Formats: sequence, structure tokens, C-alpha cells
Amino acid sequence: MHHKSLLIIIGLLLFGQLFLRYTEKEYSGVLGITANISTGELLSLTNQKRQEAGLAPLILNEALAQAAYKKAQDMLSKNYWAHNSPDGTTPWVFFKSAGYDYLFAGENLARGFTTAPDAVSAWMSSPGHRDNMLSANYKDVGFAVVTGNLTGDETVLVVEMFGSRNTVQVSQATPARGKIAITQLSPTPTIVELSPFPTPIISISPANIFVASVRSEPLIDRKTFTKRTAFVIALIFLVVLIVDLFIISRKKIVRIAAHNIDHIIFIAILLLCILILGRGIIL
Amino acid sequence: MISIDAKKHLWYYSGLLIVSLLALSLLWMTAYDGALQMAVIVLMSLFCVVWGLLHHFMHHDLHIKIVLEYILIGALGISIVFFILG
Repeated sequence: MHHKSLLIIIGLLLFGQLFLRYTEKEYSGVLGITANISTGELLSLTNQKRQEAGLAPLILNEALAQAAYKKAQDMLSKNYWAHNSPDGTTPWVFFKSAGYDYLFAGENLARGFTTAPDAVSAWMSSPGHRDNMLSANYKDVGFAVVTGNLTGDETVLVVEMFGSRNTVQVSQATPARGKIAITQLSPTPTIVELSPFPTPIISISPANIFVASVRSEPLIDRKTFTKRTAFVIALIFLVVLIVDLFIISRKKIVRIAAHNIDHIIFIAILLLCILILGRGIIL
Repeated sequence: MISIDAKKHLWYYSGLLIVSLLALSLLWMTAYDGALQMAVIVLMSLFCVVWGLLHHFMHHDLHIKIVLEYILIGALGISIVFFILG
């Protein structure tokens, strides 16, 4: 393990990161975040899962798409990754502000995914999110796919909002609370009486549907590029250290150097860290 | 002087492995925050450097070359992660 070669590689990595940052900023068409997620695909996959479960398909709703987009923008502007914002704003505020008077409401969040099937598959693997996707209470859905910097990480946010409109009159001013993917809040008990004139469900023609989606396709996806490069460098080091350990043990070479086994453990753990870093997460 | 006898240094390698695996699980749990992940990697690398140097010091074979090697390996780990998260 030559110190000079190690220093050169460290220098190249640090310089490379600065170079990538500059390229991403100045030439976003060359290097950036690739988001190959379309709201149409998200809707199609969600409804496919619902149909498999024997449920009616959800209808893409303009108000919910607007609510999802506002939620995504709120997360980016206030720099948080949660169902509730740091100032206590709940997801239901976005439903109301978009003009969606809900009886049931739900929200699924995802970040860091590059394809719609990956995001939907992650939601389906989580019981709380799966409940939202396969709930018979929901009739409508809205999606937003937004790219931006969240908690210091350039990422793709996917917001999926579910709902069914309130078609009955509630005797109190307090709105019924919906549920979110994880906490599954139960509706606040309120005295409900059926209105003699139920609010009609507004159907929206496909031409008017607002789709909140930002699609960015640079030549090189920064995350994939950096992860693969880092993985290859770490793997080369691991192989060199293992070969070195094998040679010195076979030939019984004595030299002033650190233990190889601890370096091997460190680099092996580092390889696993690289695999974990930048993976998509759901909330 | 190098010793490749893993049994002789079992406590040392076990400690290193346990802390590294702990850092790995922390990394998994902090996937929502890149800065926190960077902090976990920096702390893990620092631990590995200090743990290694302490081990050599206890075995009376701490040499400047070894100190440099541990520091550089730790710095390599940090710079690899910085390359991804930076």
C-alpha cells in the first residue's frame, strides 16, 4: 500500500467531486438527476395493484395532483422530509387548499427512486403504504414528481395523495381527519348526518387533468455515475488487499505495515455502505 | 511488523466488525439525510483509524508508516463517500 498512490486517489476523488459539482451546475444537460417517473405510469401501476386486489381503479384528480405538487414544493422550500412540516402543517392542509373536500385522505411519499415501478414496489412492500394503495375508501388519486434539493441531497420526490370526496354534511366545523401511510389516524368522531342534497362528485375530463410532474433527463445520471465509480475503486482496493494478504501469508514476508485484515474489513463495509447510499426511501 | 494471525487479534477484529456493522445499520436508518450519513461514515472511519493505531500501540509496533497508512485508509473511506454524497 503505497502512501503516494493512496494520496493521489484521495486527491482525484475530492477533485472529481468538485468537478462533478461544477459540471452539474454549469452543464445540467450533461450531468444531473435522472427522473424517469411519469405520473401516467404511477397511476397505471397503482390501479394495476388495485385491480389485482379486486378493487376499483382510482381516478386521477386535478385537485389532488395540485395538493401533491404543493406538498412537494413545501418539503423542498422548508427542507423537510416528513408527513407534517416543521411548523406543524399537516398533509390535509394541502387537500383543503387545493379545494378537495375529503371524507377520507391519505398520503404516500417516496424519494430517490429513478423509476415508477421501483417506487410503487417499495410502497407495496410496506404494510402502511400498501393499505393506502389498496384502500376501498379512496376514489381519487393525485401525483407529483418533483426534482430538487432536499436536506442537502439533489433528489426526486414523489408524492401520492389519495382521497374520496365528502358527499355528506358534517354537523361540526371540524373536518374529519384522514389517515396517512404510517400512523393510520382514525377519523375524529363527529356527529354526521346525511344531507338531503349530497354534494355531487365532480368528474374531471382527462383533458383538464393537471399533472404535476417535472422530468429531467441529463446525459449522465450523477448518482449512478458516482456510485458505480466509487464501488469500482473500493472493489479494486479490496481485491488488492486480499491478494496482498494471500501473498505475504504464503511467502511469509515480514514488513513494516498495518494489518491487512482490518483494512479488508473496513473496505468491505465501505462497499456495503456504497450500496446503501442513495437508495430510494419511502415515508 | 505484520501479523496475519487473526486468532491472535480476535478481540480487535471483533470490535472493528461490530462497530462497522453498527455504522452500517445507522447508515440504513438515516437514509433520509445525506449529511447525517456523511457524519456516520466520518465517525466510522475515525474509529477505525484510532482503533487500529491503539492496537498497534498496545503491541508496541506503532511506526510512523503505520500511522500514515491508517490515516490514508480512513481518508480514502471518507473521500469515497464524499464523492457520492458531496
